[in-house]
Amino acid sequence: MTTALVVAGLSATVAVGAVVLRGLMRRLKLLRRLDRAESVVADAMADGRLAIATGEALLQHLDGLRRACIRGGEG
Amino acid sequence: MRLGVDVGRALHGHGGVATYTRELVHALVQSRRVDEIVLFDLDRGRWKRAYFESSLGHLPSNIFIERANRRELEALDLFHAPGYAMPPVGTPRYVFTLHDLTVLSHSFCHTLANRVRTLASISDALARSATILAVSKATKEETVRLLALPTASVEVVPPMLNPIFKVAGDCEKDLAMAARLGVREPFVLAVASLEPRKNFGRLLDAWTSLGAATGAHQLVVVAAEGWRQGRVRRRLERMTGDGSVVKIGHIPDEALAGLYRRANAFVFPSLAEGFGLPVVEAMACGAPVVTSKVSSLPEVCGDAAMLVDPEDTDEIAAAIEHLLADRRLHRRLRDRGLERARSYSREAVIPRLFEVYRRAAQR
Repeated sequence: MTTALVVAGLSATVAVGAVVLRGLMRRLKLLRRLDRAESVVADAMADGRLAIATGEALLQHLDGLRRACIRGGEG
Repeated sequence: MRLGVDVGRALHGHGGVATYTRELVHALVQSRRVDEIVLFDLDRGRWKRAYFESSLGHLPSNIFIERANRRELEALDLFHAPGYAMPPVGTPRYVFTLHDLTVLSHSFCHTLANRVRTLASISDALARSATILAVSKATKEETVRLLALPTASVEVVPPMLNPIFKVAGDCEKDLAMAARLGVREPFVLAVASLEPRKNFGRLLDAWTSLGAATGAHQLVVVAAEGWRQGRVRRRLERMTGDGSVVKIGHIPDEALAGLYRRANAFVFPSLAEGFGLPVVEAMACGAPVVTSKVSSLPEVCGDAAMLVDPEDTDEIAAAIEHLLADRRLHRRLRDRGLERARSYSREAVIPRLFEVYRRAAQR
């Protein structure tokens, strides 16, 4: 009986852990995508391919998404 | 000109962007105005011709399928990105279709992953000085406002209507197809993917509130799977159970055209659209339209539809009831809709698209 309870508890913990880990990996992937986008925008602003006002607007929106990613959920 | 086009979304998805991309390829092929067209699948990296033809139909010999590698991409004069994906490297000249900016203006309607992917890809396009092609003036205005872009830097070219959506059809075939789908006449049609922006919750509220006023009409909902619509899906299942609603998943365009032709009205109370292609498809098939008076929809419909506040359930219900009861209004909207839909034919739109290509190639 006790063994069965321990096995059930461990299985539940592993299942919850897997879900949490999957969520974290997903968020990490999104954060990496945002990093790349911010760097692309910053480079384009620096060499004059992108107007400063547009670049700043993009960076502001990207930053909002970064904060939503860090907060978790769907932002 | 050697033109590259990413068709990944047309190969792997349904919905507005996939429809736009499929129609773009067919119109480009039909126009015979490009020497060579090279198709890429930036989504999954496929490059087998048979795979592309299984979605797009037979492709003539001046259409090439290639892998998105440096050699192929740098041999292009122009690259058109209609599916929110930019190639890793390639020609310095790009045209990027912006279908809408609802990831910013209606962020609550999107998943976080969708918002990140879309904005990252828009950032990439702007950083590479792509010509931004908005699908409506409303989308252009929103883009200029939210991204602080100069007005002149955004072009407007609407999507093209698939000629399969036409008022003349085979009545017997349409009736048989509707019967196979479990649809009985008369009916009101709604077509959109199941996602918050399409406002199905209020549409179902409106339909329920009409009660006996709908007469013998059924509400037929053609909706491909989207996101964040668990409650609406369960409600649709309940209403399907009591016979007031018929829910159909994704169906081929030919079957969809038949439903548009047989519908007594088409309802599309979306909260925001970049264009709103189903409205034009319905008009082209002779279905009178009730849609929203927000974003691009008034511009797309002109005076050929009843426009309602999509957040006002009573207004949606009143418009449906009025349209079903008033035969003269029904006929007037049908006639105006048929006329309006002609402005989105391939023949009407393709010269505008090539003008954008010409300017983009000269930048």
